[in-house]
Amino acid sequence: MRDFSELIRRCGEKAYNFAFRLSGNEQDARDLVQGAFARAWEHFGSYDESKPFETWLYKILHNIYLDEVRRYAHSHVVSLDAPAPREETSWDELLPGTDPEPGSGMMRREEDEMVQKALNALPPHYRAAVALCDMEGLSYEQISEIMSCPVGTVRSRIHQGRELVRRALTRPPKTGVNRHEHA
Amino acid sequence: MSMHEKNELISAYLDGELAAEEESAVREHLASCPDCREEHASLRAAKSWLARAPRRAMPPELMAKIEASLSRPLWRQICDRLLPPMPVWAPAGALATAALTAVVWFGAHRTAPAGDIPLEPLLAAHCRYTAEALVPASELVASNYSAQLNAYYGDSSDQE
Repeated sequence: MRDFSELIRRCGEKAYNFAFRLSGNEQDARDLVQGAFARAWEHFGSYDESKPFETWLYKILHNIYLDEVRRYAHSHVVSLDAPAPREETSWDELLPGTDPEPGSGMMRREEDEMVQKALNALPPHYRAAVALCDMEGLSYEQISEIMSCPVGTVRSRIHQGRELVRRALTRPPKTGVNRHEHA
Repeated sequence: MSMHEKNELISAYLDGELAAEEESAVREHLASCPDCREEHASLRAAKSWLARAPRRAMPPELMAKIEASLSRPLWRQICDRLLPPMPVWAPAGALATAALTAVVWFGAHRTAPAGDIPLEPLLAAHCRYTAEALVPASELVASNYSAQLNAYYGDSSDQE
């Protein structure tokens, strides 16, 4: 139990960040992290200590997330691997019209919101792959272990996801005119 | 190689995930192809935009909550997960468990007290057996059992 507590303290922050980037909100991120640690504790006997605990925990967390997505998909149309954003968020809404003052708290918050909006618009498989690679800094090999798919699939998902984010970034900046004024 | 495959290679190149040969091939190609250089630059911008995003901090009470939930015995965590919190069945379950325990305990300890063993018929049978000499006396002595019984009850067949 003592060892496991140390692992929680060591990996808790990373697990929460990943959970938040997957789910897009605090309540779901809390549930995901709690569920992942509970399941990890339950199956701690089967954990292979020669592998990083972090990877094992991410895999559990990702599986719980996919279970939730599939449960949701029973009543909604959800594609885990569709090449286009599944939400009705237009890409030009993901970026601000002007760059806020660098270093300010407001800029950080806005940037954080934009990143999350961009991630939320990605299909779940792309979202997980991009978050694990670009935000958690994991290798393709680790991501393939977490997502239970070949490295080639990981490479493709990361590229597709990044391509969608890139499109958002390369949109021409908004003019700052209120959209409702056109109505 | 299709455009998509080429761009996928550029993406993997950015991540340092190509084999040495592929990596040098992509590097050489980028040096001579302005379109792919542009693709490389825009993908790198997307990657660094995501990497720069602030990390979400875990709420402090969540860590404590997780640790507290794990300190409970495993059987209780499993029960908590399997059984919904129902105040109605909890007392009934406790009563049923107590009743079952009592039944099992009484069943296991239901043996006759030592004082209830009918020794008189036993001794009478023994005396009759020795009197009828079905077994040679020497063998009875050898067992020493009769002597002990007689000494204990003060009813030696020798005295008779």
